[in-house]
Amino acid sequence: MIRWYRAAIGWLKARNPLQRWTMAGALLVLLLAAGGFAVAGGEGGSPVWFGGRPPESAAEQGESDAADSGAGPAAAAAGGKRDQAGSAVSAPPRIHEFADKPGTPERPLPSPTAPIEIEEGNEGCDYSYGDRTICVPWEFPDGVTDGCAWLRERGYKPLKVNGRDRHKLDRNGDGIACGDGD
Amino acid sequence: MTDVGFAHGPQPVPMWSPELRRGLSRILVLTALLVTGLAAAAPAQAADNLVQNPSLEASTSGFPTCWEKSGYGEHTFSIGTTTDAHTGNVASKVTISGYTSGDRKVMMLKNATCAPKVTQGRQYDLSVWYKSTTVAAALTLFRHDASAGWQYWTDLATLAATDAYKQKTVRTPPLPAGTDQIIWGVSLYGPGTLITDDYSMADATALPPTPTCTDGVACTKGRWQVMPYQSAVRGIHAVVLHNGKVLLVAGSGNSTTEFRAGTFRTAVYDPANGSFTNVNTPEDLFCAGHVQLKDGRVLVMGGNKDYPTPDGSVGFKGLRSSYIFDPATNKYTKINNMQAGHWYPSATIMGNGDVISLGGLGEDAKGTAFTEYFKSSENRWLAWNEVKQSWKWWGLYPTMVLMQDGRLFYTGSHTFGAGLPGTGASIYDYASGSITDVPGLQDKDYRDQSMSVLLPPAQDQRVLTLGGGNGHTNVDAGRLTDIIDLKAASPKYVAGPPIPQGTLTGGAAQSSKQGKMYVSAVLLPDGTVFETGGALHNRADPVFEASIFDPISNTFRPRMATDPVPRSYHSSAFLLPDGRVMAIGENPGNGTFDNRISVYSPPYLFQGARPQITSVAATNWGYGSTQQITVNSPVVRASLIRPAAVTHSSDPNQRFVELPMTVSGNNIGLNVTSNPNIAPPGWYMLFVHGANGVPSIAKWVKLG
Ligand SMILES: [Cu+2]
Repeated sequence: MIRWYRAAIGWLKARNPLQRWTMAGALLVLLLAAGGFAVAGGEGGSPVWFGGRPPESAAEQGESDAADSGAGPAAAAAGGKRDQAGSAVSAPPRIHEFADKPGTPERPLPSPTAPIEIEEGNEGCDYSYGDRTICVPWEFPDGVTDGCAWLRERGYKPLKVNGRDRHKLDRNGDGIACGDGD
Repeated sequence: MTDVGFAHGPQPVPMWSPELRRGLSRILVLTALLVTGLAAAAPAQAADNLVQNPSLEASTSGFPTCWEKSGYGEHTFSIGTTTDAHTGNVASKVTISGYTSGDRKVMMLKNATCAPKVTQGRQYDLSVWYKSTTVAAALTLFRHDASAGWQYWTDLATLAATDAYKQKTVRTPPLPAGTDQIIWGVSLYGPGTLITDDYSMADATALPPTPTCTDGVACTKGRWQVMPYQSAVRGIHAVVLHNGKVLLVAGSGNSTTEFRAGTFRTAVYDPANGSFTNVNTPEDLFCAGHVQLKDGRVLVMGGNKDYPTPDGSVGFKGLRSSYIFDPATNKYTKINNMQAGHWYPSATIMGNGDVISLGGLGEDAKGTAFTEYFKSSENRWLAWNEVKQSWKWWGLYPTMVLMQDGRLFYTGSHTFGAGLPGTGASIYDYASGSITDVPGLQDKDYRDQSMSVLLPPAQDQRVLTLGGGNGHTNVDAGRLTDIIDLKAASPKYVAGPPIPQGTLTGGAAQSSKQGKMYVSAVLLPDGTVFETGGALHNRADPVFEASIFDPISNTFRPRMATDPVPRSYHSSAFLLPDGRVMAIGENPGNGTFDNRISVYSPPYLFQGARPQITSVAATNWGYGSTQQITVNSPVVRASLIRPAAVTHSSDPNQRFVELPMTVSGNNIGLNVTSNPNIAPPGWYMLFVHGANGVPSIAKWVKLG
């Protein structure tokens, strides 16, 4: 990866400014086109083999229909999403119209324009204590008054404070949380 | 049998000649012997046919009494009777020409007198004589629930096409709780003609043998064994391989020391001899996603690009990398990158063998909203312009269960990151891009590291979600369980029974509301769910509790033996092919890791001899087929269980697929679902079990 990157940079440095600007322009056009395509949804063969949401109008499964005969759309079997023709050997999948009225679908989302921020303490750990494989709880369980005692009972050793001491576990301010004298 | 034409001799003979008397007496004796023999051999079958008007001969207003015309969907059809009968003069006939959707069928009437009365928990042999020009014909059952009324239950078998009358017999699974009547018939769900006649239904419940267990408490609680050796790697990810071994993936194993040293670990563990084979691990697959592909190789996606910065201000970063592990060579092969990084992605195999992966954190430590699509036939992840994006942020390890129509059910079970909008559960249709919230999940923001399972059998389309907490607020984890029936038109979770309670470190009993997160749920070959392990708080305070959930009665059998090893964060439990449950991993907040391995023998392993599958006619199974096996003793149920690929209380692909049986002594036909969404392609463990619930050791078969 790095070797590839260095080679590319080397090659670029060897170009004159005009060549570089031309390439940058071409790249920009390409990127814009691609972005437009992404926003437009990029139609083209859905890669799903079959299945998907059944039609809204589906009748209740097993609802009695006493008719002697009936008609559906003509020639619907041809080119249907399930391969009915030539299925003499293996049965077509028996798929039911279950969960066909699950409620109102969510409004489709646009492509995100900003990163999806993850709240600090996502894993429930305050990493400002000790190594990042140690997990001092972001919040201590209800009723815990002595954080250091709680941690010690659970096998935590004294922990280096990395800048911030939200839980006030370093009472003597020596940079070590739940150390001697805390 | 009695109207044999023996009196049609060509020449006149004297009345009551000695020959005639001899002949008559022989016939009489033979008949008597036959009747006695039949009655003794199969009292139930010979005695009662539970079907009313089984040969369709009696009629009311021009249609067989106790039968009705039924069906739904878009297709051109005719439905009525024909004189082309198997016996008598009437058979039913259904024809479909143009077909788009739905089915057409002649069914038993849903009323008190016509619908056969049944008893919950019992099994019945159903049989029908038929002719059919198509294989798009399925034996369909509805059940009457004493409280909820009539509802679709299941499809038991696919009927092969046949020009001449043929009989199809198949046994129901044990009837769900609350069932007091069932009706059934054959559904035509494609173009063709189907004729049916001479239905029968008889109780086929086998009584369990008298219990013989002499193992003390293990008889009812089972027994744990802690292995005398430890795991060679931190078993954060466990994938059961179709050679019976277990892939254990650690990557850096949540150790910054290993990460900095570039030491990433994987081992293949052999439960048969306790050996570990080291596997060269090219990148940090810690907190990757994984699933077995249809050929039995393991697709691994994402993992850990970096640990948080020392002050925690920038969190874990996800890898875009993906690898395929091959059990034949014990090697990882790198494939193309995904569109974005994923730390804690989901992985669900679809009915066509493709894989959809969602959620997790990206290379920038932010949420990844890309849908990733692995195309099995091309052995690659599709590029951004080939994938239909929903741009939804699904959180971390969102449990996405494949539904019978190819949609994904997000169960609401996840890791970390509570507080996402919505009801906590939803249905995601990749094909259309639509996402619809599903109501009813209790306390949706307190289901961090709960576990969801598709309840046995997969055909029933019910999901159970168990426990969970909230690692961020660190409140006590809960006892909630929720069950959803995805067969309903508008599915919603309903509250299930609370998780039974156990003890905390030191033996103190849990208080009334205390439950557990990091819970493991394992589908057992007797069709129950074993739940074990867990903890009360974020990476602290393990809960020692295990119980067995019975999906037939919807209740827990509490107080199973408990794993002596705490099993909280980074722990998993899963089924071994010999019917035992293996548990591994424990990574409490103090940064240590417990590498002990525990193995649980459920009570069913103490109840006497195990049935054996003595032969399996074919290893490669097709959908909608009937597969022949032989067994050495009577069995009441057969199933395919998908081997585990589990981490962080998440194994969305875990499923128990019912194989309704066609029983002829020790020769058993296993009726395989026609729907790949019920059982996605791949290797499965084939189990049978006896009336006492004692399962066989699994045989491996490859489906699809
Ligand atoms: Cu993790």
